[in-house]
Amino acid sequence: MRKRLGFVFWLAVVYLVVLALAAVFADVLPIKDPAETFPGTSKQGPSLSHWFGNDGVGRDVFSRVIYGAQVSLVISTVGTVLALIIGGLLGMVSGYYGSRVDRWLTATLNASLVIPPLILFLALVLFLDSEAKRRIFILVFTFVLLSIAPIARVVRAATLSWAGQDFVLAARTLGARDGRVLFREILPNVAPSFVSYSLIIMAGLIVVEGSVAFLGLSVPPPTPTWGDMINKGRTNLDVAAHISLMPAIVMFVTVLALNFVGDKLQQYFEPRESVL
Amino acid sequence: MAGSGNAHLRPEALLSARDLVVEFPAAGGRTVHAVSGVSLDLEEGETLGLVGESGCGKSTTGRAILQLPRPTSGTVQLDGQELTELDEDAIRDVRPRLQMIYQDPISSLNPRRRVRDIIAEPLFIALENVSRRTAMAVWQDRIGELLQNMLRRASGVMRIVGLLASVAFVLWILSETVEERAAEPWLGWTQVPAAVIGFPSLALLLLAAAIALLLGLTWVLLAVMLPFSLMSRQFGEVSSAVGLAGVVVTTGASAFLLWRTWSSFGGWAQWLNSGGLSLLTAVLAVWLVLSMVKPERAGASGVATTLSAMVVLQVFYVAGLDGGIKLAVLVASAVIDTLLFRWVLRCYRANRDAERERAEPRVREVLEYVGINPDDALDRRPWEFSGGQAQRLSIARALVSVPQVIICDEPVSSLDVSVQAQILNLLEDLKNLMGLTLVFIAHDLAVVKNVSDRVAVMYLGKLCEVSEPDAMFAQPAHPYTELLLAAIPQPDPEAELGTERIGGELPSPMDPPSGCRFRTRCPLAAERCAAEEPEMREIAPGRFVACHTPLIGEPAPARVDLATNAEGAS
Ligand SMILES: Nc1ncnc2c1ncn2[C@@H]1O[C@H](COP(=O)(O)OP(=O)(O)O)[C@@H](O)[C@H]1O
Ligand code: SF4
Ligand SMILES: [Mg+2]
Repeated sequence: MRKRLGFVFWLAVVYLVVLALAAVFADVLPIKDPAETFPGTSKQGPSLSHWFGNDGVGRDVFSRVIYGAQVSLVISTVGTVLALIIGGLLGMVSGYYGSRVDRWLTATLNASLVIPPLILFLALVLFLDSEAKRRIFILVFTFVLLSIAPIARVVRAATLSWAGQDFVLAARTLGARDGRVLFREILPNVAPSFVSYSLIIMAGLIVVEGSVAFLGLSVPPPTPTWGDMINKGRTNLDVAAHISLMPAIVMFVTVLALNFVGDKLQQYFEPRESVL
Repeated sequence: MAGSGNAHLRPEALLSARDLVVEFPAAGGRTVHAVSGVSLDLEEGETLGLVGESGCGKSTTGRAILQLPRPTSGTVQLDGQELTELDEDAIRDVRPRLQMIYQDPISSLNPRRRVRDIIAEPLFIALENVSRRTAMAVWQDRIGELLQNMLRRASGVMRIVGLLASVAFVLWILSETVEERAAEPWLGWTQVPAAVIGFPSLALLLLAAAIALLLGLTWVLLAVMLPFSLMSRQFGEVSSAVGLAGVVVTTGASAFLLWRTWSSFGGWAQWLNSGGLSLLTAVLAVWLVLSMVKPERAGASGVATTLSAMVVLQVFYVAGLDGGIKLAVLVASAVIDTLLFRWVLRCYRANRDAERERAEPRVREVLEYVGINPDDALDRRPWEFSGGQAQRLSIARALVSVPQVIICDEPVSSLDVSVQAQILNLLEDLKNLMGLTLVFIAHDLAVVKNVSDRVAVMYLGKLCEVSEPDAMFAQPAHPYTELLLAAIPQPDPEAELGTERIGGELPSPMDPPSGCRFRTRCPLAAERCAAEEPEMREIAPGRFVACHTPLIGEPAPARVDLATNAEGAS
């Protein structure tokens, strides 16, 4: 009896893949230059030549949304993958070895959860940021720092429950080394929980990037980012809502799709009820 | 029943555990005295039943024998070999001879793996452990102990260097940016930390790259010195070739990094902007450490790591290009990466399939032993089986490693009554067929009666009585044994066995009673029982009891009312 993923799941996956491809190949797609200002089109609504309309200075919103996806996707993917590797390892080590290692790691991770994300970010930006080009590294760095603790906690809890199972004891009874136990026995069971959780983290990072951009602290112009576009469109909200609305909708749909795919995968991988 | 003492132990035993003590730390600085001085032994081909209420420390005793975890004190000898003194590597070699079967068959099988892999796992583990050892032996033969020691020490150094390199990397980013900031007057004070952390961290990074280069070269040289055929036999042709290639790549990469770092000494900012390289350093350093520590594993996974690092580098590279070239480079590198990754994957799969194929005949044979049809079972997962079948799988896994002793921890407690007998018969048959020695743990005396040659009754971390089951059932010698016997549900309504049930709760193992641990529930408890711990002694041939006033042997004393006695004792 296979569980089914359903139509909406595949729709979300296709959307995400198309968005990712569009972002990667933005340079060579037949779309407008995101920096070009089209005279006389300022604040113009969606039309056939400019699908998502034009922004305050007449640039094409559609192409800027596509280019904006580059930043959002790079930041959220790289951030999540790094956080997943570091947080996942920390969580597994913490849950498997227990005792003193666990106490120290848990204390450290809990302490790091107390740091308000925005303050940490502001501090890092103010302290480190000299060159706009490097802002993206700082963003990723902060996001990784922020996501390690939640991921590690989820993975630790899962590891803890799996490590207590008799099949782990059985592997050790057979003479398996810790590495083998961790990667062959525990990881395959824990992986579903953190792979699906990571998609949710990823969605979270996209939103955080948006809020950071709202403070004008994301990747600086002229590079378009979703958050920055929403922010800039604010002043024209009454006359040309689409300037903010279009990137906001795309961001919303992306976050929704990521969450949906994450949830579905989680359900899909849920181990079957024991047959006993 | 404080059952200390070793009067019941025999000199010729195959497995002999003496004075096992297992304590666990509990909240509030307290200690759980789970097992407090249990001695057991088994002669070859014997079955020992270990019986007691749930929570009395039976499983903990079984695990202490397996050294999982190692007992707090006490000794365990298997075939004259002292297990408590072996180091982790040595104990791993003994483990296959000492197996365990678990109470919950479903939880003892990994739900993510297929039966063919689960049953073959003992073979894979043995293969891994042996190949590590042979790898070490080859080193020893070829290069001598000196070099091997040097390498071992070097791997320790590499670990530290890897760590330092990553710390240095972070510090470097900090110092680098701090220094730039420092050019602005309002942040003038930061010039001090920049100078303090900047230079040492760069120096560390250089050092790390240099050592990585040196060790990498050594490895390649050694690998070349070893005849390739010899290596192939040890590691498999693909993985040794791939491993060698991986090391060559790493060595090249560290040389390149060294050169880059050195030549960019003047312009750090520029170097940092190609941040992928710094990342690459860290990744490569880590992998190099791995390949030094586990040379035989530096195969496919090593190349995969290197490839991933390469992809990161490509991303940074591609990001700097524009227009049509970007597309071309992107597509080209995507194709190349995909091909490389697929190749790695295929090597990995080929290795795994070869391993599986070699293991399959043995897996089939063992599955047939335990009454499972291999054709149906091999590709299924544990949760597709019923409890009884899963327990058969668990038994099969234990048999694959050809054990001498199997500790069966309540193997039938969670099964339907109808299935219990089947599993018990299977264990009995296998025992006779393979000459196994069994420890059979149960909380129910009735279950062990028919399968055991000797029964040990346990209470709160101590032994009460060790006797042959027939004698024990006919005439229990210890008050606790009598209570356990009385607690067995009687199928025959005519039977006039004792009607007492075991009254009261098992005392907390964190705070066990003084003297005889059973005294708080013993109908015979006297003042002496609170003050003095009874020693295990032989009260009749083959009957060992730890009680001041056993029910046989010495004339049984008059029963004392528990309440009166409690007053008397206090
Ligand atoms: N890892 C552990 N940490 C703390 N206490 C433990 C641990 N394992 C077992 N115990 C305690 O040791 C006692 C004996 O447990 P166990 O050996 O499982 O009993 P049995 O198998 O006879 O039911 C119990 O009180 C249990 O709570
Ligand atoms: S009579 Fe005394 S020594 Fe014997 S079991 Fe009872 S309390 Fe323990
Ligand atoms: Mg138990």
